[in-house]
Amino acid sequence: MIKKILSRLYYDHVHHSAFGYRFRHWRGHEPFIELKPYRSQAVVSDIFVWRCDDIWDTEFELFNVTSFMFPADSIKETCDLVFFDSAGHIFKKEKIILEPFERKTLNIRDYVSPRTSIGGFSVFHHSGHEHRFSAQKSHLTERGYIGYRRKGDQIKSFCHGNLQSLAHEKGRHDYAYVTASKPHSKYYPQLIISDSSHIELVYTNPTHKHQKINLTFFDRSGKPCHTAEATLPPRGVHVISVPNPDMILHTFENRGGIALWRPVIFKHYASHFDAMHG
Amino acid sequence: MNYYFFPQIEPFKSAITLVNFPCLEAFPLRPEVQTIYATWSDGHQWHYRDVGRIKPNEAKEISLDDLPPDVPRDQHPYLFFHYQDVPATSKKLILSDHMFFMPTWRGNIKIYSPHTATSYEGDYQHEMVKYIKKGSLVSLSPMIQSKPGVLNKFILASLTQSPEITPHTLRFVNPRADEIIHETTVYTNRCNIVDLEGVNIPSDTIVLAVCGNMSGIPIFFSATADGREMSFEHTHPPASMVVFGNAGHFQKELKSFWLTRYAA
Repeated sequence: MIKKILSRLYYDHVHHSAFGYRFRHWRGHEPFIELKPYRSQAVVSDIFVWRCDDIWDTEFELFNVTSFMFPADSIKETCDLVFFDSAGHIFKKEKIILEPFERKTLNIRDYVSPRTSIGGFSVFHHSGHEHRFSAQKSHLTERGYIGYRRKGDQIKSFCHGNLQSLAHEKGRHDYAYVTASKPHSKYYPQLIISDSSHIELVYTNPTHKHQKINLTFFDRSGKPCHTAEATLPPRGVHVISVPNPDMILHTFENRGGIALWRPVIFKHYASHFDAMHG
Repeated sequence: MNYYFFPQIEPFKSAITLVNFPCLEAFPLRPEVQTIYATWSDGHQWHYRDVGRIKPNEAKEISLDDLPPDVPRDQHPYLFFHYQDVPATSKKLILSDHMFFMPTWRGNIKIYSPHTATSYEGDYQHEMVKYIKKGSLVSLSPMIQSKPGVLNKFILASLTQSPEITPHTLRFVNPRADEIIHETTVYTNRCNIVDLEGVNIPSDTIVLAVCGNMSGIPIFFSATADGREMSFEHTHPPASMVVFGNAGHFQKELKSFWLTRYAA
């Protein structure tokens, strides 16, 4: 009986706590990709990539996530949006209120103008119902969907989020990092790039430290035939452009300080492009 | 072991990238050359056809057109690869956990035209087949691009251990208007394609796809009619809207509400 009570106390207050996650990650018992935020009422978001310039536009599909989780309760959300430049500096914050089940398609150019080029943004859904998630030791998260289009395109290429990054508690000004660092991690995206003559790999840095990334590209026989590297500041965004005119580059790996460092991939084709996550 | 499907949407073509390496170096890799099989159900049993080989560390793209002519396209073939020989037929779909790791071992599903291509990191994981006997679906999507000259298709890939091909009602719902906007029939063990042309897609909310008795992989595809622009992405399962702790609790609550309200 005492063993049962102690076990329950351990799992409720240590194992599933933010400290418990970090302790197990630090000991290497359970190397985590993401670490639970310390603040139980925090909500989580990816750092999404925005591209707005003479060629690119970005749209984000914002909808009231909490109202779908608790549909009987007619919940409104206040969404805190925070925009970063490519160096990770915050340059704009915005609040958007959503009615129950409401969706708004955000043209990101409206928020980043007159800046152009590329950067990141996060979306935090606050509703006053965060305690319902913390009661299950959980946190609400925003994982996408984001659409990219070029000038003159009729449709956008959709991609969902793939790297949960930051946590935010209502009313606070700081953003906590939830991505776990793991030095010298290799990640092998499970796809090919040899069907495209030009690939762009876009990385974000969802940690509090500068991170160096090294890429190696392989041909069809598995022979290394091209390399690239970059260093990203915290919350920074970097594009690695990879011309592949002879379509020799077939697969690639990336090495860095993040266990599952998944890029957003833009594969360019004759008439259009494909935005996808690696 | 994962399974991979071909969305067959005229006039486009589809291809699968099979990847015989895990996404992280810490995961083991079987040293054997593995056999690639096409499998399909005729409603009574599963059929298997050897369609090639894949070496360790190899990534290989196979289009539907590459498959031998005796693999019936109208029976919605799936691909998988295995280190063991499999029989010509079986009463239950052959399962293996030799690719089961977290994060999961993936592949890529592509739709292409002569001008462009679109793909997503896709597969049908053996755990879904093994553990979900009946299943249900609530998919939340803002990805329908409703405008003149743009094709929109909903793809629902289904795979079960039993070879039975059974019909189920799939409904599309406007949750803000509390209205069913489209209803159609989908089938188990098929890569179902639902045409959304003419469906009144709301711009002020997302669309729910609801099915009470069948689960699957929900994906949205859009393309211009000339095939010069395309988009293809799956929706997150509702449990992915919550991280850490007991995320499954919220999926259960969410699905319970929407299924009770709208499932046939």
